[in-house]
Amino acid sequence: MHFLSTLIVLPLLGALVIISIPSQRPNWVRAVALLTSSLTLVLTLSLINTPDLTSLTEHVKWNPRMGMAYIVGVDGFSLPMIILAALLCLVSILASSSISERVKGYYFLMLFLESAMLGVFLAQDWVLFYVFWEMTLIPLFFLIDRWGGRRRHGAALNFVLYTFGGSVFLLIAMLVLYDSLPSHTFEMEAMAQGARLLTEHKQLWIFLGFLIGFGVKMPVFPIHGWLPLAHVEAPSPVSILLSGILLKMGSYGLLRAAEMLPAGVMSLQNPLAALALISLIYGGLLAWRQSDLKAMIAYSSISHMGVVLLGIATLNVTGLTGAVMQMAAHGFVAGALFFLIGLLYERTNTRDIRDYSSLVRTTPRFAFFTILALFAAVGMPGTAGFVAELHALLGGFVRWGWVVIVLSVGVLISAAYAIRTIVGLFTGPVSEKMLHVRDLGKTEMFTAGALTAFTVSIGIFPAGLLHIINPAVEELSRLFQ
Amino acid sequence: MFDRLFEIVLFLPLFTGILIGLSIWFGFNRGESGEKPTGTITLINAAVVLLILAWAALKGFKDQWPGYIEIYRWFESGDLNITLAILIDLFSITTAALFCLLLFLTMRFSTLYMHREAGFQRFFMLLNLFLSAVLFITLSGNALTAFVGWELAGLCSYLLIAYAYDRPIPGRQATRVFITNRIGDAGFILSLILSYLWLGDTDWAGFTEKAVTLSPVKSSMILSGFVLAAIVKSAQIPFTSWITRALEGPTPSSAIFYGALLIHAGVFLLLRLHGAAEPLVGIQMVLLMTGSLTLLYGWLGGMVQTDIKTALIFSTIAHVAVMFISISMGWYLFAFIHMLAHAVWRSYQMLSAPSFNHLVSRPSRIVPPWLRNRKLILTAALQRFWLDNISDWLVVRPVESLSLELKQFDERVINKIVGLPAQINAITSLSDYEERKRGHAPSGAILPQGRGILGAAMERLAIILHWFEDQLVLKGSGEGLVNVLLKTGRYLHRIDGLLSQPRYLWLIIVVTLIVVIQYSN
Repeated sequence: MHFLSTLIVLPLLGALVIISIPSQRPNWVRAVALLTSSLTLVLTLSLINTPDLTSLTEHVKWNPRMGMAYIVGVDGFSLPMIILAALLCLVSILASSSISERVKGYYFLMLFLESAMLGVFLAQDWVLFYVFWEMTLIPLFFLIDRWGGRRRHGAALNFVLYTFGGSVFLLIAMLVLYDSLPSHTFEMEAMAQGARLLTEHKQLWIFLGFLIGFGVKMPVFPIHGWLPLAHVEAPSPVSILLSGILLKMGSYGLLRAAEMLPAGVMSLQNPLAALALISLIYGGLLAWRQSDLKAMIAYSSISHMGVVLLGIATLNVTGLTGAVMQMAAHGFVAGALFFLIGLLYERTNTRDIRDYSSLVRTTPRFAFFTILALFAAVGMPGTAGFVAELHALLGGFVRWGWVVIVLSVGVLISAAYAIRTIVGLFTGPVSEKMLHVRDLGKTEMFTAGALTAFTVSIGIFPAGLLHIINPAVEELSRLFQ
Repeated sequence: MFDRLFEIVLFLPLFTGILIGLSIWFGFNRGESGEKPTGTITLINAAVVLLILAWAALKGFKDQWPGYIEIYRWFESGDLNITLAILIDLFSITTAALFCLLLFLTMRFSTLYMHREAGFQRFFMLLNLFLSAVLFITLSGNALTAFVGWELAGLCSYLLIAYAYDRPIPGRQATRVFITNRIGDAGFILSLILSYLWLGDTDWAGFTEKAVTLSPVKSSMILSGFVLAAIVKSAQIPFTSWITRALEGPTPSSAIFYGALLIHAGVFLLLRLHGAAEPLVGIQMVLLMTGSLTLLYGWLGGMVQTDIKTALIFSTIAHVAVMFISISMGWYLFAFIHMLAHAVWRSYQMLSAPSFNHLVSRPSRIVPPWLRNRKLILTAALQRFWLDNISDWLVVRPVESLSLELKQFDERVINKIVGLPAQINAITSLSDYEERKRGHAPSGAILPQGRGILGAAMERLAIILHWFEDQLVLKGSGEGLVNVLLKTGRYLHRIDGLLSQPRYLWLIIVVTLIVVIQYSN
């Protein structure tokens, strides 16, 4: 049974069905999109209880002369990401109810995007990976360009060009690696086997290419220029996907590259950590400066992905666990925040924090979920962010000692902007404009509740997730001992 | 079996006290109807303790004293071994049994005396806790166990003095008494630490043998802490003045605390340690000096008192001073018997003090003429030798002004550095509110403004980074990339347009031909 291929094809099928629906029936379109993405989520969730993940790997010869193959598989790194992707796709489709024009195109692109993202995490062949990687850009370009905010054209062009620029480095690195290996194959396993034997010097240069390619997506300071504009201008559901999954694709790719080029990563360990800490502080401080709520979350994403990069840079079990945990945690938290802020924007048509006040009186349910999400972003104990940050902190401490105090400073800064946002949104004198803001509806409550439930349950019972990612992390960290 | 019984002795009153406290909390025994069960439980509990002690004493007299019993090992860390233990011998069991009997009688007395008082149950809760404390002290097998009782007694005394906490004076007096007692506690703690450090444990058994092997300086240091604790607890010079303040509590509590039991705690402690203190002349001299001075103080002060309770207290102090002198002289048995006898007699006197005027027909004695004629001594005695004023001047006021200055430093310097507002009160938040209502958002509430040094630094850094982001990252690379592409596109378009014109097309063809001809040669 081609289970994993089904995961990739299912959203595409849904997209095709949507095309065939007459455009006078927006409700049907939405229903099909919801059905498809929920079905995908159920299928991915069923992977959790699969005892042997490697047995699911599918291998089809594609272009043997070039060493290409269609290989899809799943392991401890990709499984949480797949579940996250399927869940956030469902969430963003649920959050799309306000899209009223060109509905067919919108949902088609969303499902297309879901398929491409799942493909990125499932691909076990570098060419296949690259194909899916670039495939995500197409729907995203149109989604931002057609349904985005005021400066959407610039943002969409900027986003595609910037990330494409990164992809060029990725492609070059892949080709150089392919060229320098005698096996002439693009299969991840085989490539990794060969690449580990390369000299450190060569590994370093190839890894740098991968770092730039994936660093743009992650994003890492200073190549994050596309992120604030794209996040702010994208429609809220797309912002959820951008920050929840697209960024994780970068860090996921970096993990895969590290698996392949251990000596190169080892020699870059300190610069990587420095980059991570700079991203952490930089993103946090800029998030603190923003008055636009979406820009704030966008910059806070840079800060949180800094934690991921720091975890990867430690190259030990604890730190890598922290990185993967933080990828999942940030996915849920950023997803929830963009979802809630998007809803708020729909109701008030402003994203400037100075226009808000005393929302806790009119929208208590909204306040509850937002405050919880913001605290989870800070890494409050009992939320997934805490487990992740603690692991990253411990792993970093083992490697660098007191240097990781910077991480704590980053957490402090994130507390500063989280509290400022809470104060700005929910406290203060009752204002006329805020009196008639509608509270969360039933579906919205359900969606926010599901994201919160994931965040909190991972925070309180991290053992399940740790169990999933542990084998992969241990295998990876063994390369660096 | 035997050991378990002593655990009951130690913990039963504590348990009863907590039980009564919880009942007050949950409202089971409030009001007049709750008095009877409270009193009964307390009396039964004291009687059980008394019976066990009496039985242990009989058994001890007949066979032999059980000696050291470990009750509970709290924790071990390396060589350090923190245990609660008791030591049963003639000395401890006699004292404990007698004190327990006196407490039992006082409890019986209080069931009537405290009838219909608000806080009857609270009073009995404290009596139970106090019984436990007394047993911890008297039966203690090591200094740590004694210290547990010592602190518990201090707490009970604080709460009993502040019994009428709705009036302002008792609270103040209780605080003063408590703080004075903490000086002694500090000495006790010091000795505990030094004992663990130099002797390895604090067991009474073997204390003398081990202390003697130490250098005199070290053993003096250990002993001086205990002596300080004893002097404070037994209200000797210069710490006498707390005891008169302590009379603020209800009469039965004054009777047992200051007349009979707690005041002897210091004497008891010194008797426990007499072996170790004997070779140390300095310690003996201190005891003799304090004892003599306090004897003088108690005698002269007692002469001029017109109030029965105060007069009794001065007499008590003088008697305890005599015990101190006896201990310094080495008359331990005499001091011991004096302590027991004095406890019995004084509690009787204290308990009957409220009805004194009914019991005594003659007018109260006036100040003797020889004292009346010596004005200086009379004034000194009346002023209680200005001990309170001296301590106020020496200790209380300097500490007060120091704390005031520290507070001001905190408000004016530290808060500014940290970025806390100097004072948060209703006025500031009200004016804040008014400002916001009028549309002036208070600065810093919404757009980030760092307060304090760190906050300001953070703000400055954030501004710089923001500039960097705007100028270089966004405009320079993000949007700049688009701009460059657009510009390049325009140029290319122009070149393309030029190329598509015939003259340039011809030119290119000609150039190509030339190049081809050149190379074909």
